Amino acid sequence: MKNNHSFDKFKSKLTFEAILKSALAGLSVGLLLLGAISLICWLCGYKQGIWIALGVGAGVAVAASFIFYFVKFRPTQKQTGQRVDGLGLEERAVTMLEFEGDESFMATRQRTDAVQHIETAKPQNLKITVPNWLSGLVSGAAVFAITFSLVCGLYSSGVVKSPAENGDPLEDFVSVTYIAEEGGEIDGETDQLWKKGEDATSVTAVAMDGYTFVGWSDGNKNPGRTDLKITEDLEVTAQFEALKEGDNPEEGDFDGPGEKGDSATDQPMDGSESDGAEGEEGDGQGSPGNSEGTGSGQEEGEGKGDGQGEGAGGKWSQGNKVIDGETYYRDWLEQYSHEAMQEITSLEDLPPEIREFIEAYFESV
Amino acid sequence: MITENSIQKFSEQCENIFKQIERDVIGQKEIVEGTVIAMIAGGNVLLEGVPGVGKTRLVRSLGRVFNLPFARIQFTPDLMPADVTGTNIIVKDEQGNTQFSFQPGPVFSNIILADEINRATPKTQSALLEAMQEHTVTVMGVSRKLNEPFFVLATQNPIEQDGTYPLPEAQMDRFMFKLVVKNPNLEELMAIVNMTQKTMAEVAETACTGEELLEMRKTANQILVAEDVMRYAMTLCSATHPDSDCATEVAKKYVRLGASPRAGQALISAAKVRALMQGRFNVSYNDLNELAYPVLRHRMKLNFEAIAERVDPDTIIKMIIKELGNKGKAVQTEAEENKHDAESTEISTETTTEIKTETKIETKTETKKVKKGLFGRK
Repeated sequence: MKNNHSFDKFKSKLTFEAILKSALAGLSVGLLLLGAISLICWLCGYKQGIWIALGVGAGVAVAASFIFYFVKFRPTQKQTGQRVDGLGLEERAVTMLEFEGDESFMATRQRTDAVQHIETAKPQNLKITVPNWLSGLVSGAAVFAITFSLVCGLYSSGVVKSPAENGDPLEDFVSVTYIAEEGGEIDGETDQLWKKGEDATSVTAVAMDGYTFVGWSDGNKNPGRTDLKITEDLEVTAQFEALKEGDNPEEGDFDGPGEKGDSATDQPMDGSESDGAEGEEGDGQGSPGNSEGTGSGQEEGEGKGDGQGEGAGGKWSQGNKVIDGETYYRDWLEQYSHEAMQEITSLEDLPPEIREFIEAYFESV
Repeated sequence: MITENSIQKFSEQCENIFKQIERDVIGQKEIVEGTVIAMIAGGNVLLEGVPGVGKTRLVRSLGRVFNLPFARIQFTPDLMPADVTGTNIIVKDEQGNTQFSFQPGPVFSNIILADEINRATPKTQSALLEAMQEHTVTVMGVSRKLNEPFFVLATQNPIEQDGTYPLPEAQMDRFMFKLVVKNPNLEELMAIVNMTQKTMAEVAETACTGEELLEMRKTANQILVAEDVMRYAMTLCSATHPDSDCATEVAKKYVRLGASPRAGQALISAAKVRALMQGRFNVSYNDLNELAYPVLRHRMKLNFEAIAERVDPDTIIKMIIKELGNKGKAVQTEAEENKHDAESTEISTETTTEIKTETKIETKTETKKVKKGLFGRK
């Protein structure tokens, strides 16, 4: 504005306001960058990150302040006029600026009038204002920057850990593994993952035909086990042992429950005389079989059910049995049966019906 | 050629006009100011009010103040266009030949009082269209120019609607201002009765002639309008259109038809006069906000929703101004606060600077009276 030095005092005040706004905007950018770099450094586990963040943040803040001033906030003549008009000049200043080059009488008169008013107006009345969005931006950026630079600083001094150094996220979990050696299998979940202190689910070591369960690798002799309150990884092995030659029944003379079948086809093998639920009971719903084998041991009368039924299809076994998680040792049963029969035989005054009942019981067992 | 003398004369004449009208019309400052602004700006005025509030008296007084021929047309349902414009009659000349001779109607005057204009049929109302806009009258294919300055000051009663014909939009648009004349307050009523007990006749004297009025119009036309202010004026007009680019929410809700471009012309012309009356040489946002009411209120066609909710045009204009950011409102408030402070403390603080400055400038005389904000609304 020519010929009006009083206009300059408003402009200098508005320039100060623009510098303040630019500084705040630049500071916001710097703080945001400081927070972002601190966050990244902390996440990546870079201990010197806080210094880089501070340096970059400060540099960018200064640069951004200059950019904001020259690109956005530097007051133009028109903006200055509008602000001065806000002091009650009723658009005198903007009109004066717009018609600055007009030398008509009315423009000159208006200019004189405007200058008179501007001269009497005081720059103190021109309030420096910071837009709400800028205040909000600075506040938000400050909170963000302080939070993450603090975290990054604490990380640098070793007070807090970086997520990158925290290791396996499964640290709080323990694995429980049950392994079966040759000759048996594990009934139940073999690979388990639990939080520390939790209980594992029950498993049972089941021996296959011709084998017997010896014990677990940790010394536990019970085939069924439930590990409670596990605090560290556990890996135990179920150990089985092949039965000795003499333990195998030469002849199929076993009356009792068959083992779980595994197939719907239930074909008796050569030389077998199956009396019971052979083939047709191989659907897994068979009743206890009653086979009389005359052939070669376990081949005789070996039906194959679908594994769902108890004592399915005329199968007999020379080994131990696990029924409902409980192991029945055949050699013991045979011994008990033999002893019982001897007792029965020695009891001469035993009524015949009682004798038959006892014999039938042991046969069924 | 506008000179410092023109400005000075404008101020003095404005002061004289108001002083003289005050002798006949008690109160009604808004109406008097509005009518004078419209007359200086060259516009027609529609005065709406119940009977007996001084509409006709104001117009008669204006006729005396401007020393202009004044004609009153009482509009009735049987009034014909020829009764307004005049007609050709057959007359015999000195040789005894018969020929048509144009007998001018009352419209061939400078100030026309169209009393109860809405009582005439639309056909007769329309007889004024050409006169109001082009200041010419065409009868039997011959156009005749009316005397300048020419004004139509019409009155209508908003209450008695039986046997009336609402003014067509085209005619409404030709009125620069629609001023709503309100009942006088108690003090004013006492003054009116006291005054009319002495004499019912108007006593106002001539304050300026028709030629001087035209000079004043030329002077006011030179007032500067900054681009931003002009843009705001046009935005104000466009904002009344529900389907314009700058339609306001209130216009979308309540307005069926917005103001025409004539509203923009009227707003700027009137704002220039108001600015000069207040001793400014540029139009301000406040001028536009104040004049938006008389300029826009009769140019908006409200929709059913507005009628059902009893929303009047003034409320809509107020909301439009608010929606457009209350430009100039802060200035007005601050200035008023400053003025109040200055008046109450009488110390030379920064808040009084504007007022003090205004008293320094040459055009101070008319400002004090007019700055009372005759269009002012809270």
